[in-house]
Amino acid sequence: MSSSNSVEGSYSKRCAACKHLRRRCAEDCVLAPYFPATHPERFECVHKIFGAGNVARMLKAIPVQERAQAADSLSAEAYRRVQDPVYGSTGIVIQTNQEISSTQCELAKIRAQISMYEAQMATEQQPPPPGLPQQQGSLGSQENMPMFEPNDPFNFLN
Amino acid sequence: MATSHNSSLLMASTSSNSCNSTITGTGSLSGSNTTSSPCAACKFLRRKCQPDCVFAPYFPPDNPTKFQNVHKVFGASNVTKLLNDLQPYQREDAVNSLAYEADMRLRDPVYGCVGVISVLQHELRQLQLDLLRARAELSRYEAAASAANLIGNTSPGLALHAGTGFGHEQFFHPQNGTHHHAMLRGLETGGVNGAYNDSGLAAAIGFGSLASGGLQFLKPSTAAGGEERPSQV
Repeated sequence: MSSSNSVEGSYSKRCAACKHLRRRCAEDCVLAPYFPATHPERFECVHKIFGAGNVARMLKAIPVQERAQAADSLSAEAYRRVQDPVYGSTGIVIQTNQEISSTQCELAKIRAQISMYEAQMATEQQPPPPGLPQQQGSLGSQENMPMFEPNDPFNFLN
Repeated sequence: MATSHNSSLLMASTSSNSCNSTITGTGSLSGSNTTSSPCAACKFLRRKCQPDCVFAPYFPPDNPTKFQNVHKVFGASNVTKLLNDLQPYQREDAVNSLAYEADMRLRDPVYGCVGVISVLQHELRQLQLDLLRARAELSRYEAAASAANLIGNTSPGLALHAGTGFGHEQFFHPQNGTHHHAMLRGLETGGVNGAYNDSGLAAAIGFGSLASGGLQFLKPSTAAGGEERPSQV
């Protein structure tokens, strides 16, 4: 009884990966810390897309302190691939790129409008050259432009 | 405007190195394995390339790296299962997206494609903040112009700009947001016109990111151990 209990005990401590693969979970199982038995669907997703062997190999090639992040990113990618078998995470990249492009376009348009306002304001705030009749704060208004007489171009000096 | 910009984006020919050679018309199902050399997959796996080889249309022999990367990350049998679950017209895009993700994972073993997404989303957030600030600034200018008009200041230039001269309504029309969602829904349901665009995938990925085999504004390798940890996506 005790031996079966110990066997059952060791089996109950298996990680999700070893449970799924129906194998003994070694103490140094590389997948155990990142695929606990409490979340079997996480490993199933990763196994379906990457394969347990590939995941274990990839995690082994990474420093221990970064393996948790790697397992999380692999899980996220696998989940997205299951949701979208054609594009997976790449679909998010495409979408985000498109959003960036459209936002940049809109920003450029608004900045162009702002520049025009700023240019106009700068022109309006410029004091008129001395001797010229003062304008009434308008720009491009024909009726306020000084009338240069071609026969007396220096009339304003009077 | 957004539609024409996106359609020109999809028509662009930039793509990643790993995706490049398969976009230019090698996706036909007639395959090249009957008389010519075996496909890259069968070459790598050292097996006879059958006439109905599922890999042959998507892994031409002149680009062995593409299959090697995919095999290293996903495994040939997993890729076979994935492709067999898809319709034939979906497979080229699926292979190209797998190749892209495999390439990203090999460049950045910790974050892979998720790191790229994180960088892009950060950039998008910054742009959206800039856009908000710019809109606020523009509103201030327009308010000032409107006030000047009300006071009776004769400034036909400002009056022109304040309301109608430069398509003001189209920039702030609420339909701009729904238009983007429609584009995204179209992408989710299969492309711009409701059908998968074989040539669009690598171009859309490559825009601003993978052109010339580089990452113009994406640096996934810096995401690993960089100053910002990507959020879980």
